[in-house]
Amino acid sequence: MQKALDNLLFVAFGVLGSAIVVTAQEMPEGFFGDIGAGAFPAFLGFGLLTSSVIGLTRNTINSSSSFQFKRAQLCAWITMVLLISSFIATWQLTGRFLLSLTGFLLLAFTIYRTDRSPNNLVLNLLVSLCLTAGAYWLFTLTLGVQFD
Amino acid sequence: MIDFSFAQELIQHLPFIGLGLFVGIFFGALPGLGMIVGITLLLPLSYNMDAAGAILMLLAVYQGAEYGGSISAIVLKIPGTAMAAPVMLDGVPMAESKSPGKALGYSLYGSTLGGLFGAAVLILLAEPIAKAAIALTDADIFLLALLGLVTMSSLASDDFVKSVIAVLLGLIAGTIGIDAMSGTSRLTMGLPDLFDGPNLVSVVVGLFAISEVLKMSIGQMNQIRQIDAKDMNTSLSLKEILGVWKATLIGSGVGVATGVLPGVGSTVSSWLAYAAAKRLSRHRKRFGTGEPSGIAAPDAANNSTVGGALLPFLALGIPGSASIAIIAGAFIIHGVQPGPQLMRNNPEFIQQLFMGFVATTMCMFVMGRLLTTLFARALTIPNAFLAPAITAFSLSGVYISSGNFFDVWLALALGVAAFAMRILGYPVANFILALILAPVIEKSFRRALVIAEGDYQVFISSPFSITMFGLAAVIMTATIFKIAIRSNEDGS
Repeated sequence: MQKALDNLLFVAFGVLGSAIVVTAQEMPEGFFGDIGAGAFPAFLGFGLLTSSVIGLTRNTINSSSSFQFKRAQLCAWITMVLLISSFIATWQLTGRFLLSLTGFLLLAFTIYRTDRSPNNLVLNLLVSLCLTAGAYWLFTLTLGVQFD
Repeated sequence: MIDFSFAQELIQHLPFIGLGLFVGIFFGALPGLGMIVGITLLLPLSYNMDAAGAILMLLAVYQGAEYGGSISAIVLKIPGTAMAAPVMLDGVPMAESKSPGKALGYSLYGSTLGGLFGAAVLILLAEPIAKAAIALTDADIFLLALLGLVTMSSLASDDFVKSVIAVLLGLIAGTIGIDAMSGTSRLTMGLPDLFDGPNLVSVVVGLFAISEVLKMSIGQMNQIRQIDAKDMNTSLSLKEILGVWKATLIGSGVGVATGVLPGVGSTVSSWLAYAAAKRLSRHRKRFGTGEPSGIAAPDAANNSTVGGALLPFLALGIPGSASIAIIAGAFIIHGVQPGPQLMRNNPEFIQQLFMGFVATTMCMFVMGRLLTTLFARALTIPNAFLAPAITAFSLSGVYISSGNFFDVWLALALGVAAFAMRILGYPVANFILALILAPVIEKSFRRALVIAEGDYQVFISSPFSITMFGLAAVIMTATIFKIAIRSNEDGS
């Protein structure tokens, strides 16, 4: 799995490096000794492309896999990304920071704390409310930030 | 008439220092999180503070985390940070044979004395170095920054290619935005939100906080660590303190020396200090069995590294590690340019930093004495609580820094990318250091060429630049040789 992911990333970086080199050609050239706005990004893009090719070649010749992603780990990872995305989206769309924060924390605690006994669910709710109150104290009362 | 405004300002900064220390010791103690996540979480708050308060708060996180790492190393037998690993060698046997409090006492005294040693060296040497640095040309500054990146690429990871890619990505990210010399928009994809470059807080939160949370999510989220928080009294007698003076001094010296070097950092310094203290001790055989010097030396090295790492940053404006690069972000946020000009033009600010740094170390000692048991108990908090809390506070911090949801989404996207890079062995610390150094490198390179009317020989025209060039070449050659030898060994 690592080899495939490594190769995928090397290809992605290679494409990114090429795109930067092409984009940099369109930037104005410098004068009076200046190398121009595009020279530095072009050099870096070329470096990225070259390093990616070296990495890809090395990986093809000799590679050892050091990790395996289990299905459960992948599910946990996707769940976390979705949870964070929904927190930001809810906050952005409703404009209600404190409400979105409590909802996110409560949902995350409930999902990730595997013991879902009534006592633990109450604890999840209490910790969510305490953290939200802490955020309100720190951001709004202390730093004067108005979220809503 | 004595001017007390100085002390008043220091007193005003004490709550920020206290907050930084609390967060630093807490995150340093929690295995896997560490100082960078702590600094990342507090960086957004610095927008609402004065420059000195913000920087001292972040430095306090750095100092506090160095001690915090030892708490879990001794109490939990798992080092909270990589640099606390050598502390385990004697800390764990002493905790078992005497008490955890005694081992933590040596750790706390070592950390405090090391921190004060680092502060003394910083205060004594920063100004002379800055004065000498005023003579440096743009070409010299370019080569100095380049040397930092070359060293970092060579040392940060076992995989040189991935290390270089991380540096290149950081440099590319640093070129995004409007070019200061020509006014051209570069690599912004037409997005106005990127005209000033990517939001630094967003990048730091994505790279370190969100990627760490994603890493936690694939691990054991419900694991509750068991600790025995009995006998946590960290007091030492005068005889016990004097018994480790030599090891503390050795550790402090090693720490400052390695802190100055770019890319080396506390992990190397603490191991070197342990080895040096053992070699120079009359009781060499006692090391590994609960010898106090084996705890004091690496801890003194960890904390004196902070002063050492600040030296090239404050005097030359070049950060040498990821932590200092993030602290450099606070300087950028407040429009303060570190380097020789800062020393000359703003001596009051520098004085505030120096005195605040000493106060930070003293406060760390007081907090360590009073709250070590609390920090030890915090180790039992499961990741199922920590991960969502870190996410919520770090993303809120990104929003505070700009009031723009684009930056919050950017932090998440970078977090996903950084997670992939971390599990594949890319050192993301290189990325942040390169991002901070990119404007320094490009501006000094282009300005040197403009002054020399396009003559590239300007980069090898002075003894200093030739030395820098030579050092960079030696490090690169040594790295290539190392790779070749390892490939041969793997082949055979």
